[in-house]
Amino acid sequence: MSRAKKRSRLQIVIEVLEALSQYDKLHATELSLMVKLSYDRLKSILEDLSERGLLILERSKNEHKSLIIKLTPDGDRLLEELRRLKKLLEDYGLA
Amino acid sequence: MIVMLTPYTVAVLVSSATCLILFCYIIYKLLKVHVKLQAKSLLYLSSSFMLLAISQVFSILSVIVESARLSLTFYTATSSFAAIAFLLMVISVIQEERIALAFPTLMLVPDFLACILAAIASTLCRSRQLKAYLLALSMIHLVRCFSATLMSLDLGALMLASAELVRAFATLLFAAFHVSRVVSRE
Repeated sequence: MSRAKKRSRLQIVIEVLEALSQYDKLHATELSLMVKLSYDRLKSILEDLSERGLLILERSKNEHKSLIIKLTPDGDRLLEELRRLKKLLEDYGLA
Repeated sequence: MIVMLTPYTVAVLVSSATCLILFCYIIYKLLKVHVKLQAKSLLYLSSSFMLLAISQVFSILSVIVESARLSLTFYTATSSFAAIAFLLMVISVIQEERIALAFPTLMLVPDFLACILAAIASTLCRSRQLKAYLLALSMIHLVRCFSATLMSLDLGALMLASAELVRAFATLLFAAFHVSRVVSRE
């Protein structure tokens, strides 16, 4: 029986940025399902990326106050860099 | 003092310089992303390429330097740094968290590694003679490893020559010891 390899933080970050680049904005729960990551772990990664100016985190105005995530132009540029490096990173199992 | 350039040396220099530029470009790209993400894995990977770039610098120096001793030093450093870079890459792929621990050890590869392995082997074997030989070999590799870092000085060359002589004798004793064991069993 084969076991799924544990993803590195970098791999998760790339998946998060890729998912966000496909949509204008995403709810944290949607993103959590898309990148197959627990909400708590995703939240800590999102907060870190937000502090680095790569994402914008907003609370929705509805009663649930759910977290909405948007990619910033800086985040978009970083994703472009990561796409250029992707083949190299894949070779080393980092992407 | 720079050596006279021939078509061979020019070809080697051009290829080494091209590699250096390419490695520097990869390092720049990796560090650029690392600055944004602070991902350790990217830092380790860029360190591997930095070591490869350094090995290319040594390769260029080994070709252009006229002094045979310095040229040999740079030549040795070229392969050593390349080996360290590749080992760093391999470890980063297998388990990136352990690189920080492995890095200082790898800096003095291969002699330091041989020294450690011989010391470990000496603790594992039972025979007292074998333990002594392996410990001697371990010490010799340690001397070789330090002498490699002092190669540009006379002391380094002297240390290396002495270590090589002792190693040759120790290996001879080592081999003779094994043969005697085999012979005595028959």
